[in-house]
Amino acid sequence: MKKSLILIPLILFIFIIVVIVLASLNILFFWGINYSSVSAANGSPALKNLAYRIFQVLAVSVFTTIVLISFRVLKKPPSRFLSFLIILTTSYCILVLSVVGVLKTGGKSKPKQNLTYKLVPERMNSFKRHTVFPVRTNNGKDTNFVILDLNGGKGSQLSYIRNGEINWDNGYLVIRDRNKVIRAEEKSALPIVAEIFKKNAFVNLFLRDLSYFNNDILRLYNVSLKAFLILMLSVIFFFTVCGIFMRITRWPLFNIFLSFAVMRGFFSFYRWLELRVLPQTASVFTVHDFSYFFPSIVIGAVGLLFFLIDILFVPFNYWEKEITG
Amino acid sequence: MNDTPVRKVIRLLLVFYLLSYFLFFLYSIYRFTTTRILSVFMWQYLFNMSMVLFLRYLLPVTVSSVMITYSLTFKIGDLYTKSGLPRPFSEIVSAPLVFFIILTALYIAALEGLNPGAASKLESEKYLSSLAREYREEWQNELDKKQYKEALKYINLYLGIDRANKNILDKREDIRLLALGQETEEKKRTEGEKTKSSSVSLNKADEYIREAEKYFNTEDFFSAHYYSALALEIDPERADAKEIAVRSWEKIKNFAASKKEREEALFFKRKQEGYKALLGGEYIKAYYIFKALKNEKPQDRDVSFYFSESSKKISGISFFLNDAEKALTLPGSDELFFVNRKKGKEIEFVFIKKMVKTEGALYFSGIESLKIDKDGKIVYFFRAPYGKYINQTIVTKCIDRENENIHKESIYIAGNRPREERNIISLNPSPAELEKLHTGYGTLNGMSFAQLWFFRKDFAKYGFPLELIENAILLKLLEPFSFLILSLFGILLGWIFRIRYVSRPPFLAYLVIPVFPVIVFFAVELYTFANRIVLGYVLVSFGFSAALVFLLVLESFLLMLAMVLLAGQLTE
Repeated sequence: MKKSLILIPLILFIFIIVVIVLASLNILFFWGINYSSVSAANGSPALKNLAYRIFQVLAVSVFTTIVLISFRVLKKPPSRFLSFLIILTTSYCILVLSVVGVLKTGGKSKPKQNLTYKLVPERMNSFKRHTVFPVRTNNGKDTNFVILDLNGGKGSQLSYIRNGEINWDNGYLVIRDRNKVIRAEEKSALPIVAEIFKKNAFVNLFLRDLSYFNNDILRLYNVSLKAFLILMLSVIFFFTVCGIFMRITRWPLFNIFLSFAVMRGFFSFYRWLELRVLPQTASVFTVHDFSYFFPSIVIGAVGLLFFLIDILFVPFNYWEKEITG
Repeated sequence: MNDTPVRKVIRLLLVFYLLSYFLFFLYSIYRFTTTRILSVFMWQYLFNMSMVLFLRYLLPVTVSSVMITYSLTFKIGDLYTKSGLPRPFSEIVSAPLVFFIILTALYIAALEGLNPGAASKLESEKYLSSLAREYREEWQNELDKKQYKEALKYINLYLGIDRANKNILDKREDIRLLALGQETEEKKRTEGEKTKSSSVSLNKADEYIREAEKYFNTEDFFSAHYYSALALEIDPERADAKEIAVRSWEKIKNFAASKKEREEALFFKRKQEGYKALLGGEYIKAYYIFKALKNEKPQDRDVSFYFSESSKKISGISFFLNDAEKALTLPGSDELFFVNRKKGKEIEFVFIKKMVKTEGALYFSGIESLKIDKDGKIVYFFRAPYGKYINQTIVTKCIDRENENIHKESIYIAGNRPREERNIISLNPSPAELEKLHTGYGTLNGMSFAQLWFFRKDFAKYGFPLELIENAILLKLLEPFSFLILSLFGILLGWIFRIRYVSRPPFLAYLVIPVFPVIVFFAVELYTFANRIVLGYVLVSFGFSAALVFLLVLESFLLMLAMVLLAGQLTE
C-alpha cells in the first residue's frame, strides 16, 4: 500500500521537472524562431504566449512521466492493480487540470503571429525569394534598402529603395518608397537568427505530430468538453496500459526502448487516425459528433487490447524472473 | 575474467561499425544509378557515400553498441571474483572510460579529416558526372552539325573525365578521322604563327632590339617596328630602339605607297590599320582586323603573328561570348549575393545568377553590381549578361569570335564609371569563397572546424550574419562532447537495464538489436536539438564568447553528471 501511495508525489515531482525542462526549451525555441529579432515595441511577446507554450508540452510531459514512473514500478513493484489505478487517476487529474488551468489563463487559442520583425542592419536578411540588406548611411538611419528579388524574372533582380518605409503586414514584409513597393511574398518570413533554431528532419516530423495532437486537444476543449475529457481518459488509459511494454521481455533495455518507441508512435498513429481513417469512417457512421469521439474510441480499444494481453499473458514479475528464479 | 570490459566494448563496436558500414554500402548501391553518376566513378562513389553516411551516423551506432555491450554481454561470472565477492563497478568501467576518451579523439579526427574529404569527393563525382553528361550532349550536337573539330574537342573533354571508356575511345577515333583534314589545314595555318610566337618569349630589351634588327634586315618592317616598340616599352630612352622604330615605320609608309595593285594596297592598308590599333591599345579592333585578314590570306606570316598577339591581348580585357554561352550550359553554383567591398559607408553589392567552373576558366551569367555612397546615393548600378574571372576581377565585356557587331558588356542602369573600369568588377572573395556565398545565408555545410574558424570574419565582411557561422562553430565544438557524454550515458543505461540471465540471452534478443541504432538516432537528434536551442539562445542574446563559455560549462556539467551517475553504480 505504502509502495503504491508513494507513486502520487513521485508522479507529481517527475511531471513538474519534465514540464519545466520541456517548457523552457519550448519557450527558448519559439523565442528564437519568432521573437529574437522582434522590434522592441512589441514588449516581450515570448512571455505573452507563455501559457500556450506550456500547454504545448503538457501532454508529452504527462506521457513521459508515465513511462518514467513505470521504471520505479519495475524496480520496486507495488500492488499491481492499485499502482495501475494510482498512475491512471493521478496522471488523468494532472493532465486535465493542468490543461484546463493553462488554457483558462490565456492559452485558449493558438496565438496569431502578427509581429514586427526588426531587420538586422548591414546584414543580409534572407526571406524565401527575397534578400533585404538595410544600408546604414552617414545619418545613422536604416531607411535605405538593397533588395534582391529572385522572382524578378528577366529584368534586374537587385533594386534599391532610398528613404523607404518598412511595414509588416500579417507576416508579409512590405517595403515602399514613392515609386515602388516590394512585398516579400512568403509567410515564412523569419528573422536572421531563426536559421540557428532550424529543426532537423526527424525532430520536425515529431514536432509536427505532437503539434497536431495538441491542436486537436485545443479544438475539442473549445467545442465539446465531454469529448475532451473522454479523449484525455482514453489516452491516459492507453499510456498507463503501455506499462506492459516495460515488462514484455526480460531484457529491460529493450523494454525501455520499446516504450519510448510506442510513445513516439502514438503521435503518428493519432495523426493517421484523424487524417486518414476518420474521413473514411465518418461516411459510414452518421452518428452525431462521431468525429469528436472517434479517436477516443479507437485509442481506448487499443488500450483495452493491451490491457487484456497484460492481464492474461504477461505476469507482473516476469521481468525479474531471471533474478529471483 | 578472461574477457576484459574493454575487449567486450571493442569487439562489439567493431561488429557494429563493420555492419553499419556494410549497410550504408548496400544503401549506396541502392542509390547508385548511372544516370546520376558515371560508371567510372562507381567504386569511388560507393566508398565515399558509405563513408559519409557512416560518419554521419557514427554517434548513434557507437552509443547503441555501448548500451548493448553493457546490457547484454556481462555474465554473472564477469561480475564476481572467484571468491564470490562482487567486483567494484569502477573496475568494469574505468578502462572503457579511457578507451572512450581516445575514441572521441579518433571520432573528431575522422570528422575533421575524413568527412570533408569524402564529402567533397562525393560532390566532385556528382559534378563531374553531370559535366560529362553535358559534354556528351555537346559532342552529339556538334556531330549533328558536322562540326567535327568541335565534336572532337568535347569528346576529348569527356574523356578527360572518363578516361578508359573503350566505347567512347573508339568513337573518338572515328571523329578524329573525320576532323583530320580540318585539323591538318589548321596546323599548316598556325605553323608560321608558332615560329614567331616562340621568339616572343624574349623578354629583354636587347633581345627585342636584336629581333627588330633581324626583321629589319629581312625587310619584315612590321615585325621590326613591333619589336623595337616592345624594347621601348621596357626602356623608353634607348636610342637604337627609337631609330629602328622610326626607320621601319618610314619603310612601312613608303612600301604602302609604292604598291600599285589596288587589292594588295588595300590589304596592306588594313594590316597597317590593325597594327596601329594593336600598338594603340585597341586590342579588340586589332583582333577583328587581323581575324578578317587571316581569313583572306591564311599564309601571311605577319597577319598570323599579329592575330595571335591581338588574341593574347584581348584575353586580359574581354572574352569570347561563344565560350561563355557554352560553358554556362554546364552545371554550377546558382544565385550568389554578397557585399563585395565596403569602405567606410561606401558599399558595393554583387549578384551573380550562375557561376560555372570549366577547365581553367570561371564564367558567370546574370551579373549585377550596385554601389552606394556614404549619403545613400547610387554611385553606379549595372547589369551584365556574362562575365569571366580574369586576374581577381570579373570582366564583363565579351565579343563574338567571328562577328564584330556582336558583343555584350555592362549596361549602366544608374550612374557611371570611367571607361577603363566600365566592364570590370574587382572581386574581393576568392573563387573558392564565392561558392559559399549563396543567397539564403550561404552554404556552410561540409566545412571543417578550421575552415569555419578562418572563414568567420570574411563571412561577416561579405554581409552575412556572423551568428550563423558562429553557431556552426559551436555545433562543431559540441560534437566531441556529445560523443563522449552520450557514450557514457550509453554505458549507464546499458548497465542499469542490463539483462540478468545466468545463461546466454534468448535468440530473440539478438534479433531486435538492429532496432536500437534507429531509436538511439532519434534520441541523439533530440539531444542535439535541445543543445542547439539553448546554445542558440545564449549566442543570440549574449554573443559568441558567452556562448562558448556556456557550452563548456554545460557540457562539463553533463559530463560530470554522467561520470557521477556511473560511479554510483554497483555490480550487485
